[in-house]
Amino acid sequence: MSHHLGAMENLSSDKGTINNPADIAIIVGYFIMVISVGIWSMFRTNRGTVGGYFLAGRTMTWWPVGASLFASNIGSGHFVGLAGTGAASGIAVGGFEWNALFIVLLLGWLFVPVYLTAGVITMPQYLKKRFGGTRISLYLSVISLFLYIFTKISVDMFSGAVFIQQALGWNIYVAVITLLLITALYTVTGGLAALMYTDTFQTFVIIAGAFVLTGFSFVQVGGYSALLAKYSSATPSNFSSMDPQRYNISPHCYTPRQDAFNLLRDPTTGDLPWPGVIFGIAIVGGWYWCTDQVIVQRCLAARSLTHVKAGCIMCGYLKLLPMFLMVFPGMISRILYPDEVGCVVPELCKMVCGTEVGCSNIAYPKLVVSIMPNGLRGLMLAVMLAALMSSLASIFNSSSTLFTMDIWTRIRPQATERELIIVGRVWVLCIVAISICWIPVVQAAQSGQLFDYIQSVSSYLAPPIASVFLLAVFVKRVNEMGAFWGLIGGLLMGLCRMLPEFWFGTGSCIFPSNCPYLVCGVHYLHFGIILFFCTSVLVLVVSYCTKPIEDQHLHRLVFSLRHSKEERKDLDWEQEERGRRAQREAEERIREKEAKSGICHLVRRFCGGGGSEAPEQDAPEAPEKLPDISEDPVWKYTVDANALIMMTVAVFMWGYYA
Amino acid sequence: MGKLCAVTSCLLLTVSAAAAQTAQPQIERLLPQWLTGIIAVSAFLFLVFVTLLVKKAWCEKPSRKTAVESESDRENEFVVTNGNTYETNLDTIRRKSTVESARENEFENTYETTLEMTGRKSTVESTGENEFGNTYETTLEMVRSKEDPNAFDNLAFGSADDKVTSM
Repeated sequence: MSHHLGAMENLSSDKGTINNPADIAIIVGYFIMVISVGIWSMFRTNRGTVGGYFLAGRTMTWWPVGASLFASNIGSGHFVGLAGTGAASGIAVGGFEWNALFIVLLLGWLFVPVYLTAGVITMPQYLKKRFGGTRISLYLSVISLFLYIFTKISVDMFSGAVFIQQALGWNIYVAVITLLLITALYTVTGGLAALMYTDTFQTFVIIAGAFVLTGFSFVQVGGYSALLAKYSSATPSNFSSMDPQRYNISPHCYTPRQDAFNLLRDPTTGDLPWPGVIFGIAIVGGWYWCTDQVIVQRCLAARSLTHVKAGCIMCGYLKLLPMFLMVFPGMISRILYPDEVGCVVPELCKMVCGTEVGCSNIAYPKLVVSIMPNGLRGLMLAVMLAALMSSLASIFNSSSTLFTMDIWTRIRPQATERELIIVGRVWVLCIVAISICWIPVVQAAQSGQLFDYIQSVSSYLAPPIASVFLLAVFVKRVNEMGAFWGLIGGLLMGLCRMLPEFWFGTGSCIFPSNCPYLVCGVHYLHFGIILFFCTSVLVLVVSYCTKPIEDQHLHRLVFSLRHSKEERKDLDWEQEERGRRAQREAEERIREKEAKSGICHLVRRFCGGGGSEAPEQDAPEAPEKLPDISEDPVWKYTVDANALIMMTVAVFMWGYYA
Repeated sequence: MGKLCAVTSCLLLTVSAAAAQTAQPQIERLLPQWLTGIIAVSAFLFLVFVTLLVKKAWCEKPSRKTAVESESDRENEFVVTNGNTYETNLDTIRRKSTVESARENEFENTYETTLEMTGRKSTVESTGENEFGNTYETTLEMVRSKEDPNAFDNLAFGSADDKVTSM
C-alpha cells in the first residue's frame, strides 16, 4: 500500500517538468532550425506551378525521398502506439514495421514505374486514366480523405496530446493548436519541397533522440539480457479487484505474455497470429505504401527511377529501427514502472492516466519524463514534435493535393494553375480546423491499444483498395465495372465488420466486448486477408463478364506496357481537353484585366506565384515531356543488389525473432 | 487483527510473486535465435537463386524467338534456298511465339522485362554477324538447345537435325 502511495506522489511531481533553461533552449532551437530549413527550401524550387508545388518540380534526390518516406510514416502515433502495444503484448507489433521492408521494395520496383510513366500526380488520377469514368476516382478521393482523418490525423494528434499532457502538463488545446499552426505555416507556404527537406531534418532528430532514449533505458534496466529476463515478471503490485461484484481480474490480464519475444505467434490463440502478421499486414501495407497518396507523392517527386529505388531502400533500412527504438523501450517502461504502465485495476488506471481500459499508452512518455536528464528531455520533446509535425504536414499536403487535383477540378474545370495552388493552401487550413474539432472525439474514444485501433480500421477499409490497385497495374483485363463493383462490395463487407465492432466496443480484458462471435470472432488481420481475396474475386468476375479495355488506352498504365512508346488514347481525354480549354480561356481573361499593385505583387511573391509567364511556359511543355523510366544499367544493378542485401538483412531479423 | 490481516496479505503477495517468477518465462526455443536467422537467410537466398535460374531459363526461350523474329529478312532468303520443311518449321516457331507472347501478357512481368533485355542483346549480337553460315549456326543452336517439352519444338528440333545431316 505504502509503495503505491509513494508511486502516486512521484507521478504528480513528474508532471510539468520541462521548465528548465536547457530543455527550453533545445526546443526553441529545434523550431528555429525547422523554420529555416523550410524557408531555405522555399527559394530552391519554383512553387508557382502545380508540378513545382505538389511534386517539388520532380527534382528530389534519393536521400530526401528516403528520409521523407520514413518521416511521413513515423508519426507520434508510432512512438506512443508501438511502445504501448510493445509494453502490453511484446515484440509482435514490430512485425508491422518489419513487414514494410518488403512492401516498400514492391513500391519502388513494381508500382512507381507505372505511376511515373502514366504521368499522374494523384492516385485517383491514375485510376481515372486507367479505367475511365469518374466514379472510381471520386470514391477513392473521398475514402482516402476519410481514412486520413480517422486513422492518421486523429491518432497522431491524440498521441501528441498524450505526450504533451504527460511531459508538460499543458492544456491539450493550446498545445495542439500551436503545433498545427506551425505545421500549417510551413506546409502552406513551402509545398512538397519544403516538406521533404524538413522531413530529412526531422528524420535525423527522430533517430538521434530515439537512440539516446533507448540507450538510457537499456542502461536503466540493466542490458538486453536483463530485458529478456525481467519482462515476464513485470506484474503490477495491485491486481485484486476493487469491486468484486462488478468484475474479477483473471491473472492473464496483467501477466506479461509468454510469447512476448516471438514475432510469429499461434494462429488461433495469439493476439497477433502469424498468418495475419505475414499476409494481413502485407495487404494493409500494400495499401499504405503502394497506393496511398502520401507515400507515392514522395516517390513521384524524385529525379529518376533509380533515385526512387534508392530512396525506398534507405527507407527500408530506417524501418528496421522502430523495433529497437520504440518497442523495446516500451517493454523496458513496463519493467521499470509496472504499476503505472502495467496497471490493471480500472479505478487505479483511471487515476494514473485518465482511462479505465489500461495505461500502456503512457509507456513512452513515462520513460521520457522519468529517466532522461535535463536538456535531453527537451530533445525528446523535439523528437515527438518532429514526428508529429512531419506526419501531419505530409498528410496535410497530400490531402490538399487530392482535394485540389481531384475534387476541385471536377467542380471547376476551368481553374487556372494559380487558383489551384491557392485552393490547395486554403484546404490545408480547412483540414487543420477539422482536426482541431476532432480532438474531443478522439479523447472520448480513448482506447487502451492505440496501434491496434489504427490497424484494425485499416484492415476493414483498405484491402479492397489494395486489391483494385494491384489488379489495375498487373491485369489488363480488369475494367471499370469490375473495379467499381469490387470497391463497393469490399466497402460493404468491411463496414459489416467495422460498424458492429464499434457499436459493441472493443472491450478490455476485464470487461470483454459482447460482440457476437460471428462478427468479431475472426481476427482483424485474418479478416483483411479474406476481404482482399473476396474483393479480388469480385473484381475479376465482373471484369471478365463485361467488355475489356483496349490496349490503345492502356499504354504506360499497366506494368506489362510500361515501356511502350506508343500513342495513348486517354479514356478521360475528352474531360481533360474540356478542362484545358476552359483553363486557357480563364487565364487569357485574367491576363487581360490584370493590374498589379505593389502589395498584390509582394503577396504573390511570398505565396510563390512566379508571375504569369511561368505557368504558360509549363503548360505546353507538360504534355510533351513523358516521364522517363529508363535507368542507367550500372546504377540499376547497384540498386538491385542493394535491395537484395536489404531483404537478406530483413529476413535474418525476422528469423532471429521468430 | 489488523496486523494479522496485513501479515497474511503480505504473505499471499510474496507467494504469488514467487509463483509468477518461477513460471516459465518464455516459450522454449528449439534452436538458438541466431541459427533460425541463418536458416531463414539461407532459405531466402536459395529462393532468390532459384528465381534467377528460372528467369534465365525463361530468358533463353524468348531471346531465341525474338532473335528469330529480328533476323527474319536474312532467314527468309536462307529458308527459300533450303527447302520447304525448314521454312514451315521456322514459320511455326515464329507464329507460335507471337501467339504465346500475346497470351502471356498479364502476370508475366519478368517475362516482358527479360524479353526486352534479351531482345536488345540478341539484336546486338545479330548485327555483329555478317556471314550467313554464322546466323544459320546461331539459330540452329538456339533451336537445338531448347529444352521445352512442347511437341512442335521437338518437331523443329528433329527437322533441324535432318537439315544438318543433309548439308
